[in-house]
Amino acid sequence: MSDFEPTILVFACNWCSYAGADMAGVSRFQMPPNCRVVRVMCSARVRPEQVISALAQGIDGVLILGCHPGDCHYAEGNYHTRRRALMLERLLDTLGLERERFQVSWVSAAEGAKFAETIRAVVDEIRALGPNTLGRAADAG
Amino acid sequence: MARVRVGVFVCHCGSNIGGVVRVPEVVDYARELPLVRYAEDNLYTCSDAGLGSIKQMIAEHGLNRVVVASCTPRTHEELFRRNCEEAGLNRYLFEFVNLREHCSWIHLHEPDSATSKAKELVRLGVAKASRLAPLEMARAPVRPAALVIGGGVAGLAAAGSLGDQGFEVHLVEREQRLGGIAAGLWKLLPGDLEAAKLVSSLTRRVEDSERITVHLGSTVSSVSGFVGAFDVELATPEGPQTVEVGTVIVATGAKELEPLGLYRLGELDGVVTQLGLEQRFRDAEGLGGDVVVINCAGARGPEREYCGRLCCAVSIKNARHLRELDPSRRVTVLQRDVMAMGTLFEAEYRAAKKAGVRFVRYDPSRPPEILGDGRVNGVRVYHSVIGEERVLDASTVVLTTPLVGQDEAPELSKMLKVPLDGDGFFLEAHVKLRPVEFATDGVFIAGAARFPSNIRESVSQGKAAAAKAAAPMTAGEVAVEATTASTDQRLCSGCSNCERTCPFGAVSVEPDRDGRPVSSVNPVICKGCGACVPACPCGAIQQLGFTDSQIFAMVESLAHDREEAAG
Amino acid sequence: MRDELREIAAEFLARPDARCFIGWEELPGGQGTRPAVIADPGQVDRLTWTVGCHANPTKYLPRFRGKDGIVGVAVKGCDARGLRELIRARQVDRDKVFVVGVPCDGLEDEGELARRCYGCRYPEGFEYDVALGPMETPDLPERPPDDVDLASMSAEERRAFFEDELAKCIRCEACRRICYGCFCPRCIFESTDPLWSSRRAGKAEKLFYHAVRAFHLAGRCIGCDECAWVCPVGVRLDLLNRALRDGAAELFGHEGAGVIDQEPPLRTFSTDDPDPFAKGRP
Repeated sequence: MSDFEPTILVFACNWCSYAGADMAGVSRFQMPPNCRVVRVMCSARVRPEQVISALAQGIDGVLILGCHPGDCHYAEGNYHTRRRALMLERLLDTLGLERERFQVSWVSAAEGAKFAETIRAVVDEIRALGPNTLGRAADAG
Repeated sequence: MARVRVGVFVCHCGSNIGGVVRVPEVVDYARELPLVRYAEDNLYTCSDAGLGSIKQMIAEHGLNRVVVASCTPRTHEELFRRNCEEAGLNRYLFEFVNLREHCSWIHLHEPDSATSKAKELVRLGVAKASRLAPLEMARAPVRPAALVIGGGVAGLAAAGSLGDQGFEVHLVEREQRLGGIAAGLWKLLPGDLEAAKLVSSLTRRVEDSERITVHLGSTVSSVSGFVGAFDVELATPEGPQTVEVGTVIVATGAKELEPLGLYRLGELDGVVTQLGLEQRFRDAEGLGGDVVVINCAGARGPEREYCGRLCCAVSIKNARHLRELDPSRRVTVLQRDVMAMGTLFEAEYRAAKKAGVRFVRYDPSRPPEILGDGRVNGVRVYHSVIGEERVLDASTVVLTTPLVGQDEAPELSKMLKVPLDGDGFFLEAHVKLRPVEFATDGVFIAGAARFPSNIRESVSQGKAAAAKAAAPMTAGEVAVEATTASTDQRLCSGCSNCERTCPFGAVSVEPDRDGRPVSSVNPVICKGCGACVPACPCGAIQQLGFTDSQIFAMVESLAHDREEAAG
Repeated sequence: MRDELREIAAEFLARPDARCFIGWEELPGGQGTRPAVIADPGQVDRLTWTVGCHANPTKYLPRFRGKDGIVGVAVKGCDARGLRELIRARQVDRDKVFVVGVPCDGLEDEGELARRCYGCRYPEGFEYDVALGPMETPDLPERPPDDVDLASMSAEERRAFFEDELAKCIRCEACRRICYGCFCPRCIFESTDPLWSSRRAGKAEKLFYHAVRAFHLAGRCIGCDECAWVCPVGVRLDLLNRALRDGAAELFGHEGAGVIDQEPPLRTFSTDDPDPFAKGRP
């Protein structure tokens, strides 16, 4: 599928990664247009059910961005994010689902360049996996 | 309940958005979205014209949800929320979509994709907006009383300012006297002011004030409550005492590093720190003959990477004093860099050299060696500029060590729920924009407790912290952002995952009227992070403004309506 | 053991504050056992203890929360682990239960050691009100022979395996109804706002249901395999839940639900948790 372009859901935390995304924009770092950013106050707000739901319904990739562990605006939020994400990876792996469709990265407010690199890398990785065959279309009977 | 009527306002932002994204197409697309009753584009939605148009359209079209698709919420969210409020709409019925930093600016050469993406982002924003509910900010009363922890110069300046402004102040100091480190100093720059006089002018202002209660020999043993209502238990010589305050200022200062063993401190007589030297100046004895000063002792190295900031000035001042007290004394300062900043300290540096102080550069890879047995008698140093080893006579060696965090800082940090940085100093809310506040509301920081600071800086910060603390105390109440967590107790099993997850202790699980343990959130303590929400398998606890329903609607819209966004 | 259990139950039920006693009874026709809730001391001879007493009696304790009286309950080692977690989750008040420890050294399924009993671990330091014998982990092998070994399969093989398994699922949700760890007053799968998942037995819906339930149970599963036992179409749910249990052990050093007094892994964190996400940080 040479002209397949993935759709990627990105959760970004207000204080660090959303601000980092803004910084990337301000700096005019160009990125592929595959991502849709949903703002949350802290990456710890992201429920694994949302990630599983997104993947089960055919979204090609889900990326959670948060502050670097130790730097969370809410002191400990991203430690929870990290632990939940590790367990979620293990769940996806156990079910044999392409666990690379779920990614987590730590981006601070000053790291506009890192945000851009992360987006490019994730889009490339998920594009290479091909379209997510889960979702309503997958029910052939 | 009124039926949802969404208004969408798409901004050109001059040509920042409009030059890439085909804004009129996005408006046409928005108009067809479910529950959208009105859509328009604006040149600059944040301008008076744009804001006015929003208010007008809210009235004309009976809009009860507003979506603005423009730049980043981190700049204008407050502006648009207030604008909605002025139009009679609850400020939380507003949603921001980022089409600039997250779209036009990063896809400058892909107008088709950027336009597709913009449409989709607006669709997600409308999906969320249509599920927003009005929220009320909680208000907490603020007691007009402050606790100042630490009676050094920062604490004294803060307490004095607050007392002058008419607030009750409790100043807690663990020693039996006020003044902190400054009370142990001899003469200060500029102009060799007597430290004792400066300190006594600060203490007198505090002691004379009827509104300031000084608790000497006392420490803080526990803190409960939150901004506006902190209940603090003090351990005083007369026994435990509780004080009720509205704000807290941390001015606990720092302590001088005394690195026993480094340069044979503690091993040989005659090796002292700068504070030890100040004491000898005050006692007017024990200064001996030739003196070698070693700067950066225990700083700027592997165990402590930072620079002590004020120590160079201290070492320059004291070296000059040593020469002035006895011009026959040779005084050599071994240094790695001389950080004599600004006009004041640069002038002191020149004066010291003029007074005959010699400055020798050493390299940290070849640190000076202390010679002597029982008592110091010399220092061997590798003069890194000349490239030769020298032995200097010395009957006293003074180590210029940095200030380090207090031993009690970790305990205090937990009590107040404020963070420490990697070096054991307290960490402020924002290094540039909020330098004397903590992220935790109602708690402020001043002086060397934050980073090694000199008297001038500590006094300024003390006054600044007092000014910041005065604001909520003067207003008498604080409004708290309403995007806090809230539990639907009918759905709650009482499992307490939320209580255990909350970093701030805002959630508690208590028996309800029927004895069932259920969770409830204190909206004043809750900081709105949402970490509790994924911890609840029942979905009972939600974060208002970021509910599962709202976010789920966005995910579903992304998953199922993608085909519509194409083209 | 069976007679002692009946005696203890009779003694307990004679107390004025006793509400009922939960244990096991034989199914009619000798087809196995089921949980029994006995309120009348005259009925204690219904209680049984055999190598077929697989049900977890503690499952029924939360419904007595807040009610008057003490509830007696018989527990095997695995059941006691669940009880410890139920107490932690405030579903059971320890002061309102009378716990009788029944030392089980392995259940049987058609004459063979039950698959779930491999790798058995009793709780450490659990205080029973009465123990009918030493409540210690029996010496049983770690892994059943010839069973599906997910860890040795490739991701593709695992995907195919679970696709086949979940294809059988009819969304009856008996698995969650029997699980000791599922006690939400309203399960999110019954929620209509958000409508997390419709009741449709489609591929996406089933995947979502089982993945989310496994996640909610991660680190809390006691390995009783009741979910697999009750499934009318024989989906190997035990394998999914145990895989996450192993994950919790490997990733976070979790000892296993209820084995020691340890916080469930998703309720806490360590600043030393592994961090494969921190690539490229200077």
